[in-house]
Amino acid sequence: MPLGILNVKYNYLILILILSLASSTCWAEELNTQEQFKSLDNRIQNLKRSAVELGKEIAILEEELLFPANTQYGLYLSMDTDETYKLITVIVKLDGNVVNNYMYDVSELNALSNGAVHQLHKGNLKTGKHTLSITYMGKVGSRMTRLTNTHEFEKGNKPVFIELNLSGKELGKFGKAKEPTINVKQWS
Amino acid sequence: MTIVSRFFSLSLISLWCCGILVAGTEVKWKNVKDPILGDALFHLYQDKNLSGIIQLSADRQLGRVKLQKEEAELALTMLNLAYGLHREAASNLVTIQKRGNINKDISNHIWFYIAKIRYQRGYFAMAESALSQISGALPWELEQDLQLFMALLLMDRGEFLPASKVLDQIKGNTGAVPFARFNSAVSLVQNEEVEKALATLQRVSDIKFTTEQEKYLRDRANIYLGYYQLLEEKNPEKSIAYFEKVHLYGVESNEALLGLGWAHYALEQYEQALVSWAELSTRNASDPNVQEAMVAVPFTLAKNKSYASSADLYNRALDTFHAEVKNIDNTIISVKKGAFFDKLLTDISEGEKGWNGDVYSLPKSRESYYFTQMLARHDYQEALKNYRDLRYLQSKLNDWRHDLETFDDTNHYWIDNLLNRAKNFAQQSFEQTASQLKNTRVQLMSQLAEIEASQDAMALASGKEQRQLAKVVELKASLELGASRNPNAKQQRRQLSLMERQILWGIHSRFSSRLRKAKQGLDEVVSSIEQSSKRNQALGGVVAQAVAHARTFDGRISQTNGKINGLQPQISHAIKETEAHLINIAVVALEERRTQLKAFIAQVSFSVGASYDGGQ
Repeated sequence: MPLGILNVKYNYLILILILSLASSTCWAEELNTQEQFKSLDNRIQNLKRSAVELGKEIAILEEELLFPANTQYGLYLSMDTDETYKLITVIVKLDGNVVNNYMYDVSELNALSNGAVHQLHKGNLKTGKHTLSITYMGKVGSRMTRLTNTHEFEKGNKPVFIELNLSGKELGKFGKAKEPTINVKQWS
Repeated sequence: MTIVSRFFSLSLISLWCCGILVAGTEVKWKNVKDPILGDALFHLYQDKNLSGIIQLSADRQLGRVKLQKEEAELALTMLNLAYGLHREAASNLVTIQKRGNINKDISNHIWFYIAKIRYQRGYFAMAESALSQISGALPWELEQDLQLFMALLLMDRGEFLPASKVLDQIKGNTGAVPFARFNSAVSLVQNEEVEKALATLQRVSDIKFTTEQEKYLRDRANIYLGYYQLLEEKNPEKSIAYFEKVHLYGVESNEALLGLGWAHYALEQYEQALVSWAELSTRNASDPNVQEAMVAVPFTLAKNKSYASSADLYNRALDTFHAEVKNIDNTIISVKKGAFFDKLLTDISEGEKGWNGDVYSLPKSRESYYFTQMLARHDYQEALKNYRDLRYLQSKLNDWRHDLETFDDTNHYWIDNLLNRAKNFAQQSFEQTASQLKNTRVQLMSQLAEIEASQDAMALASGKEQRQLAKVVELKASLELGASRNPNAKQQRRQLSLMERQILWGIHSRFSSRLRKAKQGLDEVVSSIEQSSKRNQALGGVVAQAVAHARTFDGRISQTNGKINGLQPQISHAIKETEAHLINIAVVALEERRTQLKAFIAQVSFSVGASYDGGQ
């Protein structure tokens, strides 16, 4: 029984085990690097804050320069439907021109089903009457559906926000899933 | 034991923290009425955290949040939290709490999450401060997590007995309990209560795992118990039972196979020992367990007097180890160049998510192995996250600079357009024309006065009347020339005179009215010139105002550009510092591994010599 050798091996094994289990650096050195990290991290957090502040300034500048309040309009989409309805695409026409053709992915649909609202379009409009025509393509169960909704609105000197809400959780005749209904909300 | 215990707790923390709920999912948003809030949630749910913070902050400053201001503030808190700005999140939450309009469950969850971020970044005191904000009755799972967290903080302070007591309070068998038991064992070992520690580990060893994390815990407990039986209790039979419980292809299997081999060896079951080590020898040679197995096999063969095979395998092992040293050298070179971090990072754009984003995925390369242990360290992971976030911010600054160029172009196009329009009704040229018109009017008025004074009706005769009169005069003249030959001359003369009188009568009878209208007309022209002048002045004012307004954007754009220019070098510098920090840790670890391997090579070379000696 090579106990001596085995013991040497065991000791070696313990060393290997400990070194492989623990961080390769020694404890004091690790503490030192942790302190270095914290000091650096503090500065990086400050830089992130500065970047966020800068991003905000640029977003405000963009709003005020490109979308002034007197001409701005925004179009939003929200959903309050059950899982039987799956929205695929929304096509937005403003005064006869297609301004957005948006295809939704799974993460966006999940977000919408949890109360999120999607900004479909943002732009500038002259004062006066305008017409929005929105086509929704989706699936009710396995059936493809296409809904179209037209909304006329008056643009004054204030920004106009329009929310299109797809809703409907009830079942139709014979328990068949119904197409959602479209509610339009507008405020300035 | 300190280092081993430290390892246990570190491993468990990292595992435990992997299981945390993602910020934002803990608050269920119902009745979202404000589209700005809804838009913020659209960002939050998809982990577009940086954009979400920026957009919502801008919307709030612009006064766009009208319907659900407090909810929007909570959404901003969640976005800050998900991005990793724990100080901002905490400050927002304190403000919300002061107003008293927040559900206790939600605020408790947020404080808990803030504490976790702080803990992983090594701000233990701040983590404790966040935990101290949690109050009231907690849901069962959160209560368990909280106790586990408290115990980890105590362990970090070296207070193992109180930590063990806290962990003992966690009841049940699911959720955080296996983690608590394992950490409790670590605390007990630190407190030299080995028997209790072993009993606690035994319970972890017996758990019926349902998750990968529980499986990992169970494997670690079995390895710990196996080596304890083998080395401390000198009971290889018992250790075999523990090692065999470890999953053959789990991450911990290499250590278990090595221990299993040594346990069989201790029992003089050399064939079984060789089976374990032979399996282990086929695995990644960068692993010290594999390296040891590669030596243990020839060691055992020599023991059985198979000297030739033993010497051959020793030499093969040495070749592998030398190659491994070379690999480590190459990895050090690659790490020092910084190129390896780009391979390591999943995607720079994950920096949009911030703290919530995936930070790394190990590439399929030999170097990757050396990083697995470094990446288990929170400070290393967090430094890597910072590195990725800074790189993302650097690219974002470039995007913003580009945006500002577009804004500047748009603004100048707008200014030029306004100025061009203004040229069309330039006030100066308009004033000149108006002044000329006024002078003409004065001249005309004086002429009219003269006409009035001399009652010169002919001066106001219409063109038609003047043409008719001229025609009559012309006819009369030609009549006189041929009168001698014209028998009707007399009658025609009378008719022409009658016509002339009629025209003259018309001219004179309309004189007063024409004079009045002429005066009126001149007055109207003057009034119209004055009105146009006023309108023109007003329009010029509007244009000047619009241009001045546009010029303010000019100033803001250049100011913002200046801020980008100021931030860019700071971020570049921080990237370099973070990279140097990451390189430093990696190089120190790799150099240590190289030193260990070289020591191992020296030891093995000695054994090769011994093997040859045995053969002779």
